[in-house]
Amino acid sequence: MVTAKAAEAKTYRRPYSGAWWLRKSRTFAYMAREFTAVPIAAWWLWFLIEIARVKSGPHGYQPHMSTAFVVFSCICLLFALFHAYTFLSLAGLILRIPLGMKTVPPRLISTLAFAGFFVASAIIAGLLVFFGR
Amino acid sequence: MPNTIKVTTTRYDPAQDAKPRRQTYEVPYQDDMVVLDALNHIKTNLDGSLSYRWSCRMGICGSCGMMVNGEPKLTCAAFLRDYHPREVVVEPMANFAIIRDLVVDIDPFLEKLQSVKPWIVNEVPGPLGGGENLVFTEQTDQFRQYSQCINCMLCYAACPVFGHTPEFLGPAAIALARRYDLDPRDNGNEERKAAVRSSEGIWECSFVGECSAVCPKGVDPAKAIQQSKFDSTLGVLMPFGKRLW
Amino acid sequence: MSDMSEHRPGSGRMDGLLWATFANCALISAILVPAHIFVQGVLGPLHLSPVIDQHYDTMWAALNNPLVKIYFGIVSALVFYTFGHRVKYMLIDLGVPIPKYWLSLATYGLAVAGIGFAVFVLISVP
Repeated sequence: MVTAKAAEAKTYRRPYSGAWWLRKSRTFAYMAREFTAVPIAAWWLWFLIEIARVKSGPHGYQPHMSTAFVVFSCICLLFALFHAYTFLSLAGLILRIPLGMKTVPPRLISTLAFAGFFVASAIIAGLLVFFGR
Repeated sequence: MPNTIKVTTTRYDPAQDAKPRRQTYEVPYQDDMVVLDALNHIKTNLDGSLSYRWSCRMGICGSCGMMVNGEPKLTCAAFLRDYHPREVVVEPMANFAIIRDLVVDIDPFLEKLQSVKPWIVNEVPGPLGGGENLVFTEQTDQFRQYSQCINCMLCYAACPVFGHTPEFLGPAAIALARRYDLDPRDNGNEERKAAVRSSEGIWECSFVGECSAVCPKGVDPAKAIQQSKFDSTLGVLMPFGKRLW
Repeated sequence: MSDMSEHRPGSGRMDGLLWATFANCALISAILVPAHIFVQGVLGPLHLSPVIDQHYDTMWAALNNPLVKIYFGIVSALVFYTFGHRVKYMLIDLGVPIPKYWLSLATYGLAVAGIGFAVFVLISVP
């Protein structure tokens, strides 16, 4: 319900600036966190293109090997790790699991999430290497 | 060290100005002064036409929220010594329409607050002589943080989502909804769902986190919103029983 | 000014579904993807370790296993959906003057296209 006075007054609305995230390191980190989805998707697209090359047979198949690809992968890896770090850290904040009248400590949830990350990474890396021999 | 400080404030008279302008004042400086003291000095001694809101001057009423050098602050809790000898720029809270000078239109916030019913909803009170409505410390621990909200709206000033989507229910309203949803004496969860779980409610939030960063009372509305999202999702997957995760 | 008391119960159901899907996709992709990028994108090309995609034989053998194809398909869905959801909100945050409906269509549409491409590649590879 708008008061009569507020309705009569000529209020001034300041324009929204899309550059708000540049003003502080906190908000820059937020936008970087959101942006991580782009390089991760880009890298995965390159991987799918590599898979598609299998159709060309043994002579046509060329895995990505160039220095440029390694640099690209390193940059994507940094973004992927940043995404993992921010998301898993926040797991403890988001997941409120009741335990009687209390809740599971947020730090325990985050620790378990990170433990899961390291275990899964080790398994995936192990499989990628083992079946590459 | 100079014993004065430059304080620049936004000036806007809707009867005369097409858009806000700035005006700078030279204010006497003392170590223990806060920004609100500077504004009161301006109004009392330099320019009686300056308009702004304030009340308790001790960080509990939530009236004196403004932008101080681009950051949402309670001006009664922002010490000049943290800025001196640099200039202090005081502007009206961001993301709100300006009524005059440093006064903003808070009606949208009050409407949103009302929509989440920030009170104990209990249609069926216990019988007289039925004893106290016991609440254990472990239970109040779950929502005490959210009950610290003083409705200062600094979180709305900091929230970029509220900035580009004024219909967004906002951090304080959602945090207060959660405060009452988590209260064992309350049965209003269903009544609050329409506002909280609407498209303009919790789902608008993209978890920037600025609301929690600027809150002067440590409410952590970002946590309240994300937990509400999780709670809402589980409520859809497991709709039976009264559950609040 | 909208009257908040007129919100339709359940009007946020689609938003809730989109968010819940994003939360799960982002969480699982956060756990799975970095290892792929590190091993296949850095170790393999630098010859620091044998990796399945460095040779035709090992890659062909892996892709002949339906479980591997299913796994790659699932990870593709996780990655591209997270991309679509995050890019939508990034564009809104940047103040792009396009109505949210069209932004959603474009970004989730790109995500679906990516997933479709993944499915096509994985199905068509022998």
